[in-house]
Amino acid sequence: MRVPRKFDREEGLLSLDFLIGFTIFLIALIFVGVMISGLLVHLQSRTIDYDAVAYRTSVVLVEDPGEPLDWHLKNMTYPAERNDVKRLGLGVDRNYPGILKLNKVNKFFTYSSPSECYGVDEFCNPEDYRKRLIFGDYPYRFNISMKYLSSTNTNPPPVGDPIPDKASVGFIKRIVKVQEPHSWYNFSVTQEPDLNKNQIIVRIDFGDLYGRISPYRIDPLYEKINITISGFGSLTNETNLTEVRICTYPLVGIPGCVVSDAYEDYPRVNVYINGTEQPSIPPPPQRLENITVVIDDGYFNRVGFDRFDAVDTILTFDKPMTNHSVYSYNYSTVYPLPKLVDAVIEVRVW
Amino acid sequence: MAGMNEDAQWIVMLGFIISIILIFLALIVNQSALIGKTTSESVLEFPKSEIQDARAEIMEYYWNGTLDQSDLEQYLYNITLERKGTIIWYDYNRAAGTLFIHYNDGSTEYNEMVRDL
Amino acid sequence: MVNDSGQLYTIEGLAAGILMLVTAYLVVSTTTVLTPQDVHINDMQLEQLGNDVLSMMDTPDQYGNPSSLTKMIQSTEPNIEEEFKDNFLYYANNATNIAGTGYDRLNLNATVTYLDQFNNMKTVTFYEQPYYREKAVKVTRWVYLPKFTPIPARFPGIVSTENQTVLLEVLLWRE
Repeated sequence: MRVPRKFDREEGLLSLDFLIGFTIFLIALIFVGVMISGLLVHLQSRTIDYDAVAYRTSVVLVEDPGEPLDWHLKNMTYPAERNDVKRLGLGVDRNYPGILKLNKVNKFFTYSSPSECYGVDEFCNPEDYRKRLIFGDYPYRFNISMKYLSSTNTNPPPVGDPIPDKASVGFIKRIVKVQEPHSWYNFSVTQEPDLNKNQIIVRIDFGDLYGRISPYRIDPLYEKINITISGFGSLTNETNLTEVRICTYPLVGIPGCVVSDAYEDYPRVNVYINGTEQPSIPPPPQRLENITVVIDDGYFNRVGFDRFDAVDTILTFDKPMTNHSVYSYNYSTVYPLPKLVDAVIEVRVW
Repeated sequence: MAGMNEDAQWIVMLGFIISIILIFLALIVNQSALIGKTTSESVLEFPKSEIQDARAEIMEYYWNGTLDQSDLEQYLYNITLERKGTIIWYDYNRAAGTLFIHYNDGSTEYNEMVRDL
Repeated sequence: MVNDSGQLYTIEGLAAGILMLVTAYLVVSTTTVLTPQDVHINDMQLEQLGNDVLSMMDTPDQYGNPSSLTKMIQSTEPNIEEEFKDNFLYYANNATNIAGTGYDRLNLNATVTYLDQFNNMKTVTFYEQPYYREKAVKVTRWVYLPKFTPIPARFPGIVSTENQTVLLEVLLWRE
């Protein structure tokens, strides 16, 4: 039998307030135990994943048409247009990854150093590319290079910094095809013309041109249209050009007809007689050999046409020189048709 | 039991609890090393090229005008199921001009409805 | 009956326990846990490259022409497999040479899977090369075959009277 003493240390009895305190403590302990998984929220890897950035950059370059779709028509001389370009993607269409547009490629590789790039139509290397292609807070250094697999095309200069010697450079290589849009429409006037036809009408039906899928399409809204008319030297009666107009077909509604020298700045219609540009129509009297009409890329967009319209380019002369009522600009008359050439693009980030 | 010494039972118990907690923490930290997903794994896991390829093939038949007359659905379904363990099927409604494409490779599922065809 | 002897002792124990807990918490919360270094980078680069090459080989250069993959699979020439391998490796091994890296060293095996005229699935080797357990990546491409004659001998039973689609699988590795 135990003899009770005043301070009996062998009794396992607890006072009530101790119990309550301990219960609260235990509850707090269980809470902490449950919230342990929140400890792992700020786990980070020790190195920056350069390969991920390189891969993402290559996807934006090669598989994305960019934002806006016609960013290659913007003039970098004006800061407002420079800021309009949000994403530099070289693709021809969102549904055809890996096929690039030559105009976008050329514009992408036109750059100069930060001291010389403002006020000219060039990108600033590297700031413009960082903001519009690489993205992210960290100022990555990068190098993007491109080589055509056939030797007939000149390779663009690589953009970015020179590649360092260290081994941990993020790298990705992509194989692409570039669409070359160099189509021309050449025809010549008739030697024995009809007596009442003194207009040459070249009809471009946008709906017809848009009938082909993007990689093989001549896109009149965003590409240059070249028309060359030759054979004036063999006409029996000398003739002079009096007017060049661009009109909707059929001739109803807006925008109606626009004369070729309505705009002074790019994009506009350029008329060349015998290879020399004519600033105004009617041109000074001269002996005609050939006439070339070049409609800049983006001109039809500027005037307000869309892909469902048809457009007539009407050249009016003072004497008859043709017996065709309409010349059609379509895939069977234009040469050469758009074709694709192979290229390889490498993106390095460090 | 009369002589059992109950001194320090709380300290011992708490020490025991804390050891268990530390073991638990060590377990979680250990597991996280396996769970962390690197970017390359994520890129490899997402079947971007497969989906682009299947869409391109279906649209090729569409541009030829033979999408509803061909056995493409059978080819796509049987061959991918056998060789790659993925499901690809599509449903083309010529009258309504809609095309529904479905792709499932076990970890990624992709559904697309193309309208105005 | 219940007295408060031993309470200070117990509280001291509790405090020690809490101290240990807080220390453990602080220690764990300041470490960064390293996920394993990226062992899949090479695989990702190789797979993206392979997919790109097959996609570009399956794109005709001009409107209305068949793509080179279609022509090669339908061809009856005896050495078309060599031409396929040469074409594929020409695309895949090329580089921009900006870092002086030059030509890469990739190699491949290729098979074609198709449904024959009795709806059986057949897999036929298209190009074979000795493969010795290198780390390899498999890339695939659907190839559209329009109606064609004559039938190449390497694909017995292939349907040639209708348009069809076959699966070309390429196993790609770096030597």
